[in-house]
Order: sequence, then structure tokens, then C-alpha cells
Amino acid sequence: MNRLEDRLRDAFGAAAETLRPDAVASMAGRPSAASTRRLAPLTAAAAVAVVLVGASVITPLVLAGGQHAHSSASGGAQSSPAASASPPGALLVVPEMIGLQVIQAEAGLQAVGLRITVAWEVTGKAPTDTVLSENPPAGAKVAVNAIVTITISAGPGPSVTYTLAPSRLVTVSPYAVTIRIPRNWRRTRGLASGVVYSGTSGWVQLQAVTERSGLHAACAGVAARIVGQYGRHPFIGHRRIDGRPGCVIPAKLVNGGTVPWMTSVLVEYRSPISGGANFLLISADPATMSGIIASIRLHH
Amino acid sequence: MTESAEADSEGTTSATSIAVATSAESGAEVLADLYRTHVVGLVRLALLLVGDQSTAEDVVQDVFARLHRGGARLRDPDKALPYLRTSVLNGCRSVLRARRRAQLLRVPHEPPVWSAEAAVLAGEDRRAVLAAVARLPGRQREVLVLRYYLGLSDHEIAAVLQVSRGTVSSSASRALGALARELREES
Repeated sequence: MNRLEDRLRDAFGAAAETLRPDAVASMAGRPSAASTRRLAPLTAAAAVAVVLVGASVITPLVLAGGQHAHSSASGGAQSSPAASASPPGALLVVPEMIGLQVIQAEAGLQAVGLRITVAWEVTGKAPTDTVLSENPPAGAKVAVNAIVTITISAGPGPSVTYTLAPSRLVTVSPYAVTIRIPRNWRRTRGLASGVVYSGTSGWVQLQAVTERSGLHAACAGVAARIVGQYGRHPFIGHRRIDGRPGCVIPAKLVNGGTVPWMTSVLVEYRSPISGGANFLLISADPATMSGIIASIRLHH
Repeated sequence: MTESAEADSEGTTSATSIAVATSAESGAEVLADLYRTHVVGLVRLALLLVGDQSTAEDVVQDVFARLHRGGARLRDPDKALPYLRTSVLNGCRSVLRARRRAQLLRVPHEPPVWSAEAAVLAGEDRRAVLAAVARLPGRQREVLVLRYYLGLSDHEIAAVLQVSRGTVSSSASRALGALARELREES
């Protein structure tokens, strides 16, 4: 048995050594200016995580001498200390957030005990992740824990991505939709239902969804059920797709999880397609999705 | 082994050098210090569980990003490292869980460092050991990594995993039993 334990120590040590400290050093290069608002060592990739984390309802972690147990790390606890501190029935004033970064807006809302949902607008008018509008507007009085919807800039749009790679339009007739995908992608048979196209650079899957309780329930249902990995507090952004109501469930989330391989889009058909489904669900790796969203054309 | 000793001594260094955080500003400073001190060790820990470096880095980045977003006041530096380890393990669990689901969609992910494809880890025996560990149930794998990589005591492992000591010892002995059987059959 000792021999097995030695083999384990040796194997773990060797595997860990494959990661050299200097390989991670790029993650740690940090100016020591104390005035930086963000945690500076975070790389660009982590900055994305910060933004998305910031846009979800999360539990502040407090590591103060036993005042709060840190049970929230498992994603199980969902109480909001800020909100629970206010007496029930109190009215709160919605703060002014236009022009702030989404991460700051979320911090502000959480500090006063409000929750947040985010919608995107593709625009070149404001930098990515800047708050464009809020609803209810600043100054409105709302109940504790009320949801404030902010619309943030999604940047000038993804069209550039796809002029670079040779692409083609495919029409998936059972789902009455046309999308643009890289030219060398093939239709493949996934184990899951629906139609899958994939290639070396990514993949996309189309599925039909039947949900009678409206878009909001459909999006929440997809986030929770069909795409289980979006976690307990999925981040759902409402957005019009090809002029139809839809929502985007982006890839990276809190709840202690990272799901960098998948983003989903749900869009409502004008009327149910044959088979009765009234929503189209498109899931893809995030890089692919940013190009696909703009190309979606519904025929039904 | 040497790695765990290093991690431990780093832990105490940071404990003495971190002053009590009294404001959000110094909270961020403390967090940055923790990051500098522990990022390599934590990424390695995650690497042993998720198998590839970029995912391991993502997990650790997420932990720090969330801490930073939560405005955590790390008033008790002694608790910081076990807390970070717990968070990293939770992050790894989510990744592995999501991967199992993603397999339904045949979404590929990077080959683990112990696969022959990755070709970064020398030694057939090491690869066999790690592959066998990767097939164990999650908690058993975590216990083995914490015990034989970080060199934690069962008491410390129990704190990090937030389970009882009895669970730690039974998981460990089940894991060692399963490994002994599997590795004997293979060789």
C-alpha cells in the first residue's frame, strides 16, 4: 500500500510540475497602483468573467472571523445579505447607472438591495459593457429585492468575425431557419436531439422547444432544464433576434462554475412549426455564436 | 512533497505580511497578495482535477474574480488558503459536471495532461496512475489529491471538503483499494 501511496505522490507531483510557475506568471503581472478599481492581475479572459459574474445575482463572500460561514462557495446559499438587511416592505430608490460599466452597476444595485437583469444592444455608440438605459428609471421607488433591467452595449456587432472566414448559409427546414456557418462545417449527428453542424473551429446545435408560458418562462426553462450547465442562477439577456423576441444565455457563469464551451439563444417563432414547437433553441460554442446570432433568419 | 511544503510556507508568509483589512481598498490589496502568493499552487491543484492547464486557470481566475466581485474582506488570512482551496475544488466539480453533460453534445475539451496525446508528462506508470485516479468518483479523487499532492492531514482535508473526518478516511481507503485493484489488473 505504501508503494501505491508513493506512486500517487510521484504522479501528482510530476503532473503538477508540467505547469511551470512562469507559465502562470502572465496571470500575475500586476501594477501595484493601489487606486485600480479592478483587481489588476486578472487577464482579459478573467475580465470577461468579472463582467459576467458582476451581472448575475451572487452572494457576497465575507471571510470575517466567523461572522458569516462561507457556505456560499457551493452555490447553495442564495440569501443576499444586502437585501435581507433592509426591513421588508421598505421602498428603495433606483440609482442612476447610465454610463457606468455593468460591473459597477451591479455592485451599486446589490449594495442597495436590488437585483439585476441585463439586456444587450448592439451599438457602436458606447463602449462594450456600458449601461445605456435602465428600467425602472433612476429615481423610481421600488420594493426591496426588485429586479432592475439594465441595457448594456454589446459593442458594434459581430459582423467582422464572419467576413474573415469563408462561410455559407444553411437552411434547416424542419426548424424553418437559415443561419450562416463556416463553409467547411459538416452536418454531424450528435447524441442529443436536434441538428448539429460542426467543424474544427466549433459547433452549433439547433433544437425545437415547446413552451406555452411565454418567452420568459421558456428562457428560464432552457437555462435550467435543457442546458443544465448554466447553473442555478442563469444569466439571461433578452434580445430581439431577426426581429423576434428572444434571449441569450451566455457561456460564463458564477455558481463556482465555468462553462466556456456553450452559449444558447432562444427565439420565438411567429407561429408554432409542425410538431407544435414554438421556440427555436440554438446552442453553440461562444465564438461561433457571436457570428451566428446576426445571421439567424426565421422563416416561420 | 516539496510542493506542499512550499505551499505551506507561503501560506504562513502571507499570513504575517497581510495586515488586517479595514477598507475595500486594502481588501483588494490583500486579495492581490493572496493571488500572487497562491495562484500557481491553486492552478496546479485544479490541474490535477480537471486535467488541462487552461481550464485550471479559468477555474482559479473565476474564484478570484468572484471573491473580488463579492468585495470579500479577508480579515483572517489563516482561513484564506483553505477557503481558496475549497472554492477551487467547487469550481473543478462544476467543470467536471458540465463536461459530463457536454459529452452528450460531443463537445471536445483539451486532453488531460496525463493522456498520451498531451505528451507533456513523462512516464507510462505515472500516466496510468493518474488515468486511474481520474476514473474514481469525485470525492475520492479530491481526497487523494489533497492528501498526496498537498500533503494535508485528514483533519485539514475534512475542513477543505467540508465533510467529516470519517468521510475523508473512508473515501481515502476506498480510493486506495480501487486503485490497487485497477493498477494490478492493468500491469
